[in-house]
Amino acid sequence: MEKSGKKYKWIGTRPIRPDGVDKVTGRAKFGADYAFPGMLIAKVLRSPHAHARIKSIDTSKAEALAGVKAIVTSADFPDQDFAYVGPERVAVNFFHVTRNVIAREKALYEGHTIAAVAATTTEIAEEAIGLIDVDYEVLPHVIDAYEAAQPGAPLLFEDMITRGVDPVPTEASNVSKVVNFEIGDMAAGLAEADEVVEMDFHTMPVHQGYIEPHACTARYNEDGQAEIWSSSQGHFVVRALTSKLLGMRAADLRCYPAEIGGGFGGKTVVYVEPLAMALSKKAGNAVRLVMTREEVFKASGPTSGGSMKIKIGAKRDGTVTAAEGTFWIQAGAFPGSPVMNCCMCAFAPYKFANQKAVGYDVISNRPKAAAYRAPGSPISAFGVESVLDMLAKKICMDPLEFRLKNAAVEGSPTIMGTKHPSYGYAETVEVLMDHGHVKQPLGRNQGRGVASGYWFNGGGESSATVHLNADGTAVVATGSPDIGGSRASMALMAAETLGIDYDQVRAIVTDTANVGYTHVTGGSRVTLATGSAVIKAAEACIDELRKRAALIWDVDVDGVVWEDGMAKPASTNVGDFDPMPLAELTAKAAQTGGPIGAAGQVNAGGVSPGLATHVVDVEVDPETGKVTILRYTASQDVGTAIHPSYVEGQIQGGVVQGIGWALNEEYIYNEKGQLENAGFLDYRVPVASDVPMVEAIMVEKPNPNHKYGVKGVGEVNICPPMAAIANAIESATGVRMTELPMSPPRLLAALDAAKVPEAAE
Amino acid sequence: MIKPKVRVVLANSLSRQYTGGKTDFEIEATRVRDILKALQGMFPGIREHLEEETAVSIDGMIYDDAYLQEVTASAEVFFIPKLDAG
Repeated sequence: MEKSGKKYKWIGTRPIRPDGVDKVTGRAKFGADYAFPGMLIAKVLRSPHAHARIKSIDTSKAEALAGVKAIVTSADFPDQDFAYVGPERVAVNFFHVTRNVIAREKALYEGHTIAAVAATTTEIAEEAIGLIDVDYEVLPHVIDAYEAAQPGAPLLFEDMITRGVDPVPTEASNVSKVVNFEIGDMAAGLAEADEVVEMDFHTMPVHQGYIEPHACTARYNEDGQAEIWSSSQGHFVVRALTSKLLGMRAADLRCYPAEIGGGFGGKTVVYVEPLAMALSKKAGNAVRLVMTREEVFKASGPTSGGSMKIKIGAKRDGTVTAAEGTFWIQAGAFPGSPVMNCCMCAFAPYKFANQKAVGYDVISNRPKAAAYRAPGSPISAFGVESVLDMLAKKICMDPLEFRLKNAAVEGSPTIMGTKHPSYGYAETVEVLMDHGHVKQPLGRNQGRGVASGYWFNGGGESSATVHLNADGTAVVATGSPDIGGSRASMALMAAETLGIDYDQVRAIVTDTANVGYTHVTGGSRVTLATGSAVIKAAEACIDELRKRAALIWDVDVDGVVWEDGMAKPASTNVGDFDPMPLAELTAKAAQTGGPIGAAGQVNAGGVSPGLATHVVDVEVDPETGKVTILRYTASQDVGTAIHPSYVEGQIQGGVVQGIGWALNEEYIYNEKGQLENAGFLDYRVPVASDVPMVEAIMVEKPNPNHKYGVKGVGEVNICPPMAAIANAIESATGVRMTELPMSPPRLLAALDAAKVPEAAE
Repeated sequence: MIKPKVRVVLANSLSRQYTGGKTDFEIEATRVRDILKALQGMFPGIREHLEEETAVSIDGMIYDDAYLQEVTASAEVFFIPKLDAG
């Protein structure tokens, strides 16, 4: 078994994942795999209009259809107070959440849920959907966020007043809020600059593209107790949101984690669970609701698109003197884009003395945006890293050297005014400056680009239990759905802490009734936060094991230490006892006090951010505008790699999703505001033949606040690819692309436009 | 017991709402709860906002809920928007 370091016995090794066999044999149960006697099938009626007032809904014909057991509309859901709950950056307004789950006064995007039907068969449910009469008043719509922010744009909410503006506006607007950040003196910084680049950029909303659609089965029992089996990034959040939307008590709803076929942030919210539960409550049977791929595209959150204006100035010696960004970020049909992240991450890899960011959260007639890997940060990185590339060229400096000169270090100021914590950014640049990739010669129509990215990483609430069996094995249970191999990572940290072999530890993900609250698998938080809960529970087991050894030896517990998986006398003064391995102590558990186990609960802080720098080589076909990725190298500050293969997998996955975002992915709407490419044939994500092997370089700079040095690794890798590829295309063609995706037709048009002046001459 | 003085910084939006625009403070504290108590004494209502809606950065390390977190004499404590992600 390969090991990446000598400091630990198990951490840094690459064992196979505990859920691997079930997944490759098809035994693993995903969201749509649960079935119960009498179970009904649900289908959803969705709005064909991008923007329409719902004048009436007549379900009588559908209800009369044989086999139809229940129909729900918004009338079956209690309305919610209009109030933003929670911190501003992630505030939730349940007035909006309930209207996104099922439309009330208006349909705000094509695909918006109008009603749901539960029937004995799929065919009957589909027929019933067609029998529901909805009287719509079709309204003017707006798709683009920048257009939606302009005065006179069709208003989604006629009474929405922009927050964050002083004085408070008197006119309604699609701009939900404005945020501002600034440090230093922008005017003075720009005056110091020898070169200033200012440019506008645009990115498109892109879907997370998880393979498994949203799927759940819900069962509401006669006694008011209810259960949900669903594919999500957090079944505790499914419980919290569903119970709130249906007026249930949390203790009356038990949520089970199905295996999950990808999420990337898109499964941190609910779409199908409240509908299925409301139908089950009405019908008295279990109800399964599975989205089609078309529904996933039309009704579940992509990440935001955005428009931005970036202005950066630098001295000829490479010192950036000022950096400013203005961002209009689309939230979809309801407020809540990641605009604050956009602003806070934009310049975060750097120690710029003068920084300013202004962000606008804008609603338009599209599905409500949801999280997607480092939400917000990739958008601003596209603009900022493109402008930095242009500045480097202007001052004739190598782009990696330019970035290194301005690299933030521990203690550098952020745009929030705080200091940067443990920071491995410079190392991600340095490792690439010495890498063979940057020395490889390039051919005709080929170019090389670099870019960097930043992500906060997360901590927060997690729970775990560790139970020791009589044979010396351990069961680790957590509430974190396993998306990226967390069962293996939890088992590795438990084995390391307890001092037993990895294959003596079984890690499982359990339901909301069997472990304490655990926040979503998202925000690059699980290995740090849930890992800390596992370590805490394992350490509590060790304390108990020491007590049991002390009892057997008839010594004070302070005279017993735990080393290498064994209880040992702390010194020769304690007595002459042979070490007692864990299995020997657990075998005697019944005689020394009963089963040994412990729970660990944390609200993990001490988070260190993720930093990444990428180098990419591309070849551009001047006849077609097609971009081929020739070589890709990604370095990332990963803290301690608990399971290096899964860390590399996260880096490679983020890069590939970034390549799709850069080159192909976009939502195409017709003039009626209807999505025309709601399927993987027309919405093109990268396939294996589109990408070379991505070389992942792990820069291991441990987080000083975690027992094993963990930093989150799942998100920052998607931040640099779009700008890195744009910079490579510019290097290959001389054409600067400022709009995503840089698809063949768009790039070809730009190449042709660049030729026009030459032809004229 | 004499507590060390730490530098405490509030975001601009908070300072506009509660402190008349003042963002920088020197407060005697050994834990973040001391800071919250002191600020609440000066600006009634601010404590609930800080506890519910902000994370705390102590010398750059971010804590979502830092009520009991220790601070040292030279520490810089920033109250910032809470973090979350995908």
